[in-house]
Amino acid sequence: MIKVKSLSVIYRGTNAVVPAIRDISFAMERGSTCAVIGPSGCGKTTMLYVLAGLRPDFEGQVEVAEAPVRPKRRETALILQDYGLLPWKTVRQNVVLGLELRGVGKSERLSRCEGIMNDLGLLAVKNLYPSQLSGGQRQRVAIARAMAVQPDLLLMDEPFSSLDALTRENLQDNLLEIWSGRQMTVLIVTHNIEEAVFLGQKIIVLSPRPAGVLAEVENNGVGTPGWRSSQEFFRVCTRLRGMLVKEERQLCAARAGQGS
Amino acid sequence: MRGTGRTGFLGSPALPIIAAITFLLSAWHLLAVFLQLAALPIPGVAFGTFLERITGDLGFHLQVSTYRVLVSIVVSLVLAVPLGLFLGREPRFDAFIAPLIYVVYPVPKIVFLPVIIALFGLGDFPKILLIVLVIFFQILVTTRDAARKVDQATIDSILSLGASRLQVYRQVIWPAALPDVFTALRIVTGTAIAVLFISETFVSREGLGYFILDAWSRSKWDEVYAGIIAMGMLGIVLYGILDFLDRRVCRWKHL
Ligand SMILES: Nc1ncnc2c1ncn2[C@@H]1O[C@H](COP(=O)(O)OP(=O)(O)OP(=O)(O)O)[C@@H](O)[C@H]1O
Ligand SMILES: [Mg+2]
Repeated sequence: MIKVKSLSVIYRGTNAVVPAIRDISFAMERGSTCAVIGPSGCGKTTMLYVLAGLRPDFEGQVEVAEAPVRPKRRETALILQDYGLLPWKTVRQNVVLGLELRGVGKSERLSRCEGIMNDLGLLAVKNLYPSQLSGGQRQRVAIARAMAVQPDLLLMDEPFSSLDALTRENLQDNLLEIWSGRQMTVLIVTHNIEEAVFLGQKIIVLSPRPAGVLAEVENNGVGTPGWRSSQEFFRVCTRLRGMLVKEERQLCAARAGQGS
Repeated sequence: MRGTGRTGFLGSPALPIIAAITFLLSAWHLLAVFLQLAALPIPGVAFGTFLERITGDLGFHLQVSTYRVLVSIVVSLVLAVPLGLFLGREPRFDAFIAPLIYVVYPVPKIVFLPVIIALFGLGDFPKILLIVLVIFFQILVTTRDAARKVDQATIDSILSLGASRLQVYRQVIWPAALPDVFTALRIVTGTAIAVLFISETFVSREGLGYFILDAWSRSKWDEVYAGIIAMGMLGIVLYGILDFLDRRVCRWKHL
């Protein structure tokens, strides 16, 4: 579904040149999930922008669904870090937005969104505005809005990072349910080790900026019953934590070296 | 205060407004009784003349002035808002236009009144043109700055949903700028009435400005105040309408 080969991204500002991503390669099977984990500011959001076709200025090859990545691919859905909901639209108007932009008629888009709003428990709040919702509800709206256009590729940027632990696990469960019910490829960027291991059949560990692939971890237990409390789950978490801690130490050592 | 209590006239809480009016009229009355000046009749006399004349000539002049102000505001809005949204989002064009605005904006347009009258005579058009000249830039600058500060992530997220350029304007830039457009409109309404007054006192035979100036030249102070009351009402009603529209259109701002 996704094929990335030697991807590099450089931000060229007026007074600085920031290499954000250096030589990333990885691939994702159709219908699989992948979690990308890495330190803050390493270039994760940048990578999602490239995959969503919103950043055409990159080097290397990026293919989505066996074709070079392009803007406005209709089957790609992107959920940004701050959810990107429109404050002037109610929950329901936000959810149907994708269909509205595609010119789907009013009654049809409403009926097509009932199901997903019901799945995510949004029917009770459908006439409220985003500012009237809790963080978890807002995130649900963002998921519903993305799902309403029936994407085959879902890109999420730290979707649950600002939520409390229980809400977060709840939404992770919701996401897996939605995923297993559809032929959908999910790529999720996260800071959270447990989240990466719970959701990603493949976990990609990125190095600090400019991001490169530090490791790729296969994690095939995702979606199996009781996964979150299984021995294997904890084993992968520990392994991942080990990698990230080592990375952090090296980074500190490098910084100290620079400083002296 | 928001969202609480009952809302009355044009969406504003009625009771505090009635209280404010009562307070102002009482103060006026006391001052008038205390000072005993011809130039300051008691409100009872002023309102008496107002009520007497509003069904006649004063009503006509009020109509003329209302028409001029409304047309000016609508025309400015229709011209300035789309241009402002566009300039706010297209830095390449803005780089070209911004210096122009920078130079023209602070120039007091009212000083062109004699020129405009010389060119276009004494009808409605020169007055509307003058008001538009003044308030167009105020709306333009506010709208442009509002469009500029629209959050890029919001735009990106609707681009990712497949929005076209035009849809980005319709679905994001325009609604995001709307509250600021209303703020601009509130400011501009007062300015528009002030500019109208000046242009109507300048060789004119119609409008509240003329009515007040004419009464003044005859030292008919009760009539002067009747005209002032009409002008005040024009302002208050326009504000009320703006408030009402704001609450309806920007509902998410008033939760
Ligand atoms: N428009 C831009 N211009 C210049 N540099 C940028 C721009 N956007 C991001 N960067 C830089 O590129 C690097 C990667 O940014 P990015 O947002 O992709 O990081 P991230 O991994 O998503 O971080 P976080 O985990 O904090 O969200 C950062 O160092 C950032 O400062
Ligand atoms: Mg990020």
